[in-house]
Amino acid sequence: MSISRRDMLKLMAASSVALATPHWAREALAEPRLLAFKGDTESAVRKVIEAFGGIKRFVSRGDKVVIKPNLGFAQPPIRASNTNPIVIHTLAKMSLEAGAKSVQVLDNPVHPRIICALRNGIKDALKDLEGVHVELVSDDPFFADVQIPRGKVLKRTQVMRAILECDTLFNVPMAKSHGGALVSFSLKNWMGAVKNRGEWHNSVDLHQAIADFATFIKPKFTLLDASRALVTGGPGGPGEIKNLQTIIGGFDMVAIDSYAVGLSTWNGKKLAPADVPHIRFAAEMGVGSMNVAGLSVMTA
Amino acid sequence: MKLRRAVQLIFLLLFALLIALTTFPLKISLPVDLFLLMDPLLIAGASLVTRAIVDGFLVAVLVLAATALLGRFFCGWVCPLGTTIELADEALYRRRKRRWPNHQRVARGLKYVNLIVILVAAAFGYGLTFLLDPIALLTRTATYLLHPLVVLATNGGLDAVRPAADKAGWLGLYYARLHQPLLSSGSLMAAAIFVAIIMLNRLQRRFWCRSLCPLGGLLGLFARLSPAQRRVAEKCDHDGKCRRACETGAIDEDDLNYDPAECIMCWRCVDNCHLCVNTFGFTNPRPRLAQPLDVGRRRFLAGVAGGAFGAMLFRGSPSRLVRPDTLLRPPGARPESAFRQRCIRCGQCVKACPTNTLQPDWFDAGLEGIWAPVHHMRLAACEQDCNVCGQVCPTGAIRALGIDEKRYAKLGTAVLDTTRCLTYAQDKSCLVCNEACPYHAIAFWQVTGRHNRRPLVDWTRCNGCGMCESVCPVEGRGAIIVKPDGQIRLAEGSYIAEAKRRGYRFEHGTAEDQYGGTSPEGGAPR
Repeated sequence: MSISRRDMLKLMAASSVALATPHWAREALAEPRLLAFKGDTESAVRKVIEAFGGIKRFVSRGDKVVIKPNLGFAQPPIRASNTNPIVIHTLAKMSLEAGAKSVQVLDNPVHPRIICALRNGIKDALKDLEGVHVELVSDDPFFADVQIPRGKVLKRTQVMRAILECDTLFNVPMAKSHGGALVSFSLKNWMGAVKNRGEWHNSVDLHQAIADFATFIKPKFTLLDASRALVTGGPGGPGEIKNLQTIIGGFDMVAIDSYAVGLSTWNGKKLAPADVPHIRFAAEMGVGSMNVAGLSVMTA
Repeated sequence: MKLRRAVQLIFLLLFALLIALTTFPLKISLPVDLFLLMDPLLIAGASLVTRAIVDGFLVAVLVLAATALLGRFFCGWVCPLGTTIELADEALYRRRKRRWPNHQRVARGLKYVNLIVILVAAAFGYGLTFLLDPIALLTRTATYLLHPLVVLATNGGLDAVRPAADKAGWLGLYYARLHQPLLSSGSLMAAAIFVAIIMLNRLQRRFWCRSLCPLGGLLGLFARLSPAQRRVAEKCDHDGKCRRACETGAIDEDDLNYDPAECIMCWRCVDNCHLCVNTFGFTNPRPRLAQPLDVGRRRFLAGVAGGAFGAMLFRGSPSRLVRPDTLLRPPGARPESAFRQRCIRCGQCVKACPTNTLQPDWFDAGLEGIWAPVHHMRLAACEQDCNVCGQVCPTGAIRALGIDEKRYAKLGTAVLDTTRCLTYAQDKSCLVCNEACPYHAIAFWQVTGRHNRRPLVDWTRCNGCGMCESVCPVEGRGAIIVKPDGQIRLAEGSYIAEAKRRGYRFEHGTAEDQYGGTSPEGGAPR
């Protein structure tokens, strides 16, 4: 642990999140559900991880680590359609420093994987890190059938094997607008972990399917990259990019997404968390809480 | 002869290498269509059919001039199909008794008939060269058949070792998987023809080269002029070794006389002569008997009639009159009839295509359209930052365009099938087409009384890339389909200028912008 109790309490005081329950005192001493840091991207990532107890809390020596960013689109980093390479790099480096056996950076992109790989610049950004493997995965042999026991409409789907079999799973989405899902943050990011996501659209309600999957997937930690948010033209871009310079970390994907909704307008619309059906549904299913009133931002 | 075999293998390997390198992104500056450009029949056909001097004309003239000097060396030393046939023959048929003795002249005139058919059809404005030209044929076999098979086998091997790689933690090997090109009816047809050509060896060695190859016919005509002649010394004992060894049965029964139009300079007569009386040289000590050309008046007329008939057959094809709406040609494809004239069905565009959207046509464009490239948007979209199909097209059937020009070479327009679109037909939440569209050509409207927003295509922003069609989650043929409407096909000039003239703009932005965020006409977009 690289953070003292005193520091933690300071952070608590600064982030008055999740105080709505009558057990506010107990909540305040417990861990925050999320923290947002503003500032230089790399140090913001490090600060968030440290605030939650340091990387060793998530990665043990010899672990197989999987980082699931959003690398869905064949766009260069400058277009901010994919997770910021600096965020991925920082997290991958920290994982390796913590003794990870391997770090896989995986996504099943929307655009053809060959073209994505040519353009997204992730391999280049990570090439100095030995032990990191970047792969865009779209082919059948790399997916396995899973049941979604708590799913309302999504009872089964096919998930990337490496994501199911790893020791540590990091959810590392980026903040962007979305033509149909309104926003794409940490809940929506999981569509890139599945093979047959077309069914999410066509046989079931998309928002409910996103919420259903969130009852199944258990990342050890979520790091939402809002360093540069794609506030219009998402998810593929290009669109308007806002330099929010913010990194949000936590365990509660619903809270993180609820918080991120308030960071900007999305495709020109001011939204409340409950306006986004998949966030609302996930909260109703007990994945997390939408109540993020009063949370303040730390400076990294 | 070892030298000849070495040269043959070098050219065959070069041919295979160039095909392997026909990929996106193109990594070499060497023309990947080198062999196609060296082929004087293709060039002659293309020049005739387009009534223009096409690229590679000079190379073709050089090959013909060299043939007039040295004989059919191309067939015996260079032609990758000839080498393939020879290698297959040695592996399969070397010890087999053939249907006819080696020297017997069986249907030798057919190659001239084929040549005449091709040239006459070309003169009528129809490109038939692709059917029988050996280089186009072999390239097609490689791109449509062998390449997918090789990748299939490689991926099968990788699948087999994947569990072990997973256990060992070798991630590179675990994830190793080649982009799988597809096999289609077109591949099957290419396979059938290729196998038939090999099996013809049961009749006589290199039967294809002797009797059917139109390029062999063309080169044979020029080889008759060649001063490089085989000569046989006086002490020849007429034991027939040379006659039986000859690859193409060019030596007559007397072992002395031979036909320079048939001789492919394999020099097997030299190698197999136990008295060393066979030699090749530029001076001939014996007066050569004049060889009649294997094509008389009747065959010549048959060729002309065949070419004219082929041309008529195509002219009358229904697909020329009513073009099917499945016919989406690659970006930069010339106007349809010019495209068909030029396309030699080599399949290099399909081979190089990084997404598999280009596939060989079966009969959508009629008999005439077989093997020509068409987009299969349901498989994949046309990648917007790729222009490789035009770069590798040997005949300019697809124009070589820069990326900017290529994006404006509009393929067609996406059309919504509102009876099947999930938002229209079932009021479901779906946005996939909008999500994938690189030009924001698909707007989503909120319609009063419906839960979910619906897509609407802005035709001025749609360049027909097919991204929407490729990702549409509706089963089968999809609820948004690119049709050729509005396609831009130019024989010359700028696509950008033409697109702008028509009021198209394929730029990034949001489709909602232009209507101020409400649906046009204020109502349900139907």
